Amino acid sequence: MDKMIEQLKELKNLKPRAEWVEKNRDLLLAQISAQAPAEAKVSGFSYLHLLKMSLPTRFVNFVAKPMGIVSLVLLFVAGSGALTVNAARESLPGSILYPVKLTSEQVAVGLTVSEKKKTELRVSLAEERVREIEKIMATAGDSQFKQQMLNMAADSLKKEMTNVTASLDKVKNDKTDQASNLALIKQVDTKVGELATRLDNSASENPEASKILSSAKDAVDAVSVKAVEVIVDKYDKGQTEISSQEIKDTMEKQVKKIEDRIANITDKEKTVAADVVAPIVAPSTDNDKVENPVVTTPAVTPEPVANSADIKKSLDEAIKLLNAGDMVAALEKMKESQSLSSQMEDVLEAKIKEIEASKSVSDSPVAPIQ
Amino acid sequence: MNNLSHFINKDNDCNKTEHAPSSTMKNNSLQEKYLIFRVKFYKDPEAYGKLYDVYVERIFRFVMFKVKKMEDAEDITAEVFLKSWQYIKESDRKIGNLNALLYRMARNAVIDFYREKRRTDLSLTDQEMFEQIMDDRDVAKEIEDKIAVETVEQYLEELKDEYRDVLILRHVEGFSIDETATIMQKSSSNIRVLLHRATKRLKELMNDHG
Repeated sequence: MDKMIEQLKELKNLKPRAEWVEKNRDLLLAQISAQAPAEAKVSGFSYLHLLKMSLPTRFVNFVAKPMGIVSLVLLFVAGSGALTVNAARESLPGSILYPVKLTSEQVAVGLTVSEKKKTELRVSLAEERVREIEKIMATAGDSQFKQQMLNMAADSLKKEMTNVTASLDKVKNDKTDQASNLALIKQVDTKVGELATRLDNSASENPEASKILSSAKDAVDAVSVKAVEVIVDKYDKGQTEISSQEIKDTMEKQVKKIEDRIANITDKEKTVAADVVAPIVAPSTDNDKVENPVVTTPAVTPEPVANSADIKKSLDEAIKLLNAGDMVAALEKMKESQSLSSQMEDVLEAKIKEIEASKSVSDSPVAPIQ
Repeated sequence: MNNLSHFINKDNDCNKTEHAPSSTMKNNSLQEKYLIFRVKFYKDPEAYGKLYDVYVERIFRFVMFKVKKMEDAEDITAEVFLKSWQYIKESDRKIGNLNALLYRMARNAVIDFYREKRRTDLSLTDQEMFEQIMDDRDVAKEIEDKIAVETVEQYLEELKDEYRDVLILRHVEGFSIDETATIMQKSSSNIRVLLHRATKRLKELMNDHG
């Protein structure tokens, strides 16, 4: 057996003629040189090919290829998701992609670890809601559908504001890096102030929208007050470097906002009062001439819990306390005024609703009195 | 037909040529892959010349065991290298193993050679047929001479093609089981079985004549 193998190995001595090897080499090279192009085309892909060639086939088959396929699948899944989310970015409430947009936003918030970043993100989401509201207001079309869209956007905005309030609470209790905390709160206060102004502008365009947006506006104002509360709290506990003058300015700004709101409410009140005073005349029939007009009176309206004078008084006290340097007490008074103004506005909205309801009753055809 | 033993142990100075095969370059090595890359993307004849130097002997030997006639073996070997150049240059497929590619090309070239030979033999005229018979008588005589020499290669001819291939690749060329499997496009376990059967059959043939 070994002898046989040895004999087989000896067959290796079988070799071609040296002159043929040489001649054939020259001939081969002459033939292929004639076929070779003048300029070779080499690209990055060529080097990729070299890399692929250099890697062992088993590595390519069992490691590189499966990894490549998995990466492609992941890329496809993530890519298609990213495309959808990207497409959803411009969607408005009522569109199919809107839930995708809200979910992607919540995912972004969920993936953010830092509470400060989370707060910033939530404020930017609130900005996005306000932007949506503005867009909806700018679109023409079915008013009922628009109202539904506004309701959805306003609800989302309220949720965001609640989340921002919760975040501010966390920042309030955070005792690390006070300087950046304060900067964040100030930033929130400024941005929320802007949002409130934009909401006011949107609400002033349409009375229907005003009703829908009033609760969202309350939520925004509440965040603004919360921001001031956190600043005052930090100042009171000596956790910030903020000066008393700065605190005073911030609070005065807040007081000014409440005063503006009261002024708005008072204006509205006057308009409503004028509507109530004017008799609402039911349309008369031919048999029932002008001599006997059917006069209807509005239903009983809820009594206001406070009036603008009370709120102004409360605000004056807040300013007095502020000037006396009692920031905490001033803040309490300011919060009280804020709460009263909200209640006052609610009552006013209820009153407007009632008047409109009675108007719609009087507009409907009335059977002639026999 | 030339007897293979005529070439064996004959000092034909093949290794003394100026383009002697670089014994340092292993098949399937990084250096070889780089040369293939040069051939594929730069169409570099010199790189292909180096590959030729490494493989020409073994491909010639492989072909020679199948066709027996030196001139045929030389023609087929030259054709294999020319076709391989074109394949490497034009194919989009990865050239993972040039060794396997060249042996496969050689096997196909030998099959084509016999196919062509059979076709030519069928179209012989009476005169040619007579000459062929006379040739065959010479061949028979040569085979008798070979038997007298009693070397192993004469029994290789009596083996099935794949038995002969597996013995040559494994024991003459010294390829591993895996390399032989790649060249013959079979699994390693299949090659082990083939090798066992081929060795057994060759041994039987040698014992019968011995």
